[in-house]
Amino acid sequence: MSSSLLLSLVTFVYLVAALAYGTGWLFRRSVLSRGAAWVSWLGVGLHGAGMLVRWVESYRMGFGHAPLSNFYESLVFGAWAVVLIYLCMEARYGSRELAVFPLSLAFLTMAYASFSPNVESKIQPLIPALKSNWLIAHVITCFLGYAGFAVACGLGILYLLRGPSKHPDNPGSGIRARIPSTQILDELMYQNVVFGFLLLTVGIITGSVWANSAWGSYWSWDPKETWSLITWLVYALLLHARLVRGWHGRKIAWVSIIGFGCVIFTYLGVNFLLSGLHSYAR
Amino acid sequence: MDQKSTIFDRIYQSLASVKLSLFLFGALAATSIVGTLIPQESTVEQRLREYGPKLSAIIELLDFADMYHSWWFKVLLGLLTVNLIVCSFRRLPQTLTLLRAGNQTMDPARLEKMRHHARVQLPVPLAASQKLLAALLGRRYSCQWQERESGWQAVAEKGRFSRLGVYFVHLGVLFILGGALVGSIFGFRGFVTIPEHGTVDRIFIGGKHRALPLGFAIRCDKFTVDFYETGAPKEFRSDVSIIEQGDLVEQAAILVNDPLTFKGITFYQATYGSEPSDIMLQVKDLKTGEGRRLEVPFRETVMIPGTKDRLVVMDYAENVGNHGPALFIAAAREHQQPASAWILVKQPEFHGNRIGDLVVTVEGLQNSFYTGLQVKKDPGIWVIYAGFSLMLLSMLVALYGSHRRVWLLLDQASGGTKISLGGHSSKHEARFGREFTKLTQDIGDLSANRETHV
Ligand code: HEM
Repeated sequence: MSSSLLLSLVTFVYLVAALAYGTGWLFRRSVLSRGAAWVSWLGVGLHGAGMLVRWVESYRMGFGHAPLSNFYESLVFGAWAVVLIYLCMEARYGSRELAVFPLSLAFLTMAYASFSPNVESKIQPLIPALKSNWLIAHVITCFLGYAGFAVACGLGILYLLRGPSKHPDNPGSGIRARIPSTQILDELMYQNVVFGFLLLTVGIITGSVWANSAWGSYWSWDPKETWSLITWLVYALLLHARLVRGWHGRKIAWVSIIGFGCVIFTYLGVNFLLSGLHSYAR
Repeated sequence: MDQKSTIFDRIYQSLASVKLSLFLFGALAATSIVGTLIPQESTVEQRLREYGPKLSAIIELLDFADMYHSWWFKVLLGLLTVNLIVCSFRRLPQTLTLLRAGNQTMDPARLEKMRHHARVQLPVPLAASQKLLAALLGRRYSCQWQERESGWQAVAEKGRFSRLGVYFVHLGVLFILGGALVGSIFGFRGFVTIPEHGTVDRIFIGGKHRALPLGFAIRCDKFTVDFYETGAPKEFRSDVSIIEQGDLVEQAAILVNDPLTFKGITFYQATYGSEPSDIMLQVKDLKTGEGRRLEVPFRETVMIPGTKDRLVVMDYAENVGNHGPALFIAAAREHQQPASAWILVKQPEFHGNRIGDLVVTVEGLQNSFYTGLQVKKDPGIWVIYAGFSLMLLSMLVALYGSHRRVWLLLDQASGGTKISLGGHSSKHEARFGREFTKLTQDIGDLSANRETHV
């Protein structure tokens, strides 16, 4: 089976998982949620296999390279990282109520990657500037970081949905009562931001080392670089505000949502709205 | 006097405050956005056309078109640096005290007040319990035991030095900012083009305005460009030789992502192009009928031998007026106005191959590649890389490490030993909670283990 077929299939696996998680959560059917978790693990497995197959295919075409070098491949890897990080969190903390956002995000990303006419999914040979191991490290770490931020943003949205700040721990009945407690959300949000921050830091550093070996400049204030720095500063603000100024809960939730907005802009906005060096724009 | 010191105090306080850092993080992020929306390093004319006079004036005033090098952006970065230094110096003593503290005497009431606390009863005499506990704790923590009147007291701790992690993160940030400063003061960035077989010993800095001697020469022996079947470029490669005082000292290939460094100066493959070389011209004066052959290097002025006339090949085009390739040549003859014309390469009979009274024929012409190299010297790069490593490694410690302490009191009780324990972690309370529960359970299991072992 070709990798693109396999990866389009994964899109629907995530759709099924997102729906099952969603209904399981709304109607309190833990069987459904548990099933959804299995489906998601299956999806992540197939998804990983799809990327490996793509890697092999590129070697068959005679210009082998890791599947991390164009817009399509970055979308695919990003979606995989989001689901993987979410599932690791689920395995550690055992709550399945947080799945809808990450799984829907992964579904939408994969659907866009696989079916949008604007995204070129052909395997292309690498232009000279992209032939670097630093680039591989750069893409992997950046997107793992972005995925951590994505999960944190989902948690932030849940936090805000859970209710007004006056009675955060007394959400009454209805859907709100099915959202995990604010303490858990707050803690998990922080964990994911910490992970994302660390990985984004590695991502910016590897990108900078790569730029230095390709162009002789570790930082040139090109819009993509600058936006990744903006993102980094927003999360640095979050960490300091929480640790030293004692921000918690809703404030942190908002910063985490704004931060993810910056991630999206760094990734998509810069390509489609601004001009710059980074060659991911088609 | 008093008044004065309070003002200094207040300035010091605000320079040390994390409130200021939050403001600076926000301000740097927000202003950086502006720089990504307004194209950087555009010309005044471009800005006037794009934004009109009023907006342009504002852009001019605040240096928005070269924002990241503007005075106020540097002030923000400088403030962040000062903030970081002052804050760290103010907090370090407290942290160092915390590193040493651990040996305070504990009483049961204080243990009870800790977020994590427990009591365990062991059906084992005091002295034996102490030995068992010392063995168990010793495997997981570093412990200090102290005998008290009524029993034993212990502090078990782990990850003490993770408290210093954040200082090294901040030091890493300072290294990076410092390295950037060193680079901007002692380094340079320039550019040079070298034709194949050509040699250069100077480069250009800041456009073509300033030439900088390298102190050695670099020769381009060969330039190659490979393409994929799709037509996309696969590899650019310049084979070069370094020549110092006439001696060949090094030969190497420069590829994209694989630069060459010699004496602290690094050459990066940046661009390439082709230009005419080995240009052989026949120049005939219509008045005198004299003809001369001469070789003319591209874009270099030469004297026509035996005359006081000068000639220069200024440009080359692939196709001029559908007549094929042509050279644009200018001639300055004695007592005459300079004149110029396109001379067709492939059609020597063409009547227009004339500059004034000179009929010019191209007898020989080669096309050869030139390579364009980015040239850089940055003595700050090692400081920056040191900062990167320091920041990353210590960030692992600062974000994931924690200083965990458990205090224990052992007292003789009827039929065994009463153990009270309390725990505290500098971070990651939830994770430490699990660790503490596990420890409590393991202590409770000690007596059971002992019985089966003995
Ligand atoms: C770009 C610059 C900076 C970076 C990358 C950075 C990074 C960090 C990190 C990773 C932490 C640990 C956060 C956590 O555990 O959640 C931290 C803590 C801290 N930072 Fe920064 N920081 C920066 C600038 C500053 C500045 C300018 C100040 C000035 C006041 C500051 C003050 C602090 C303080 C007080 C802590 C808490 C230390 C503690 O008690 O554990 N930081 N920083």
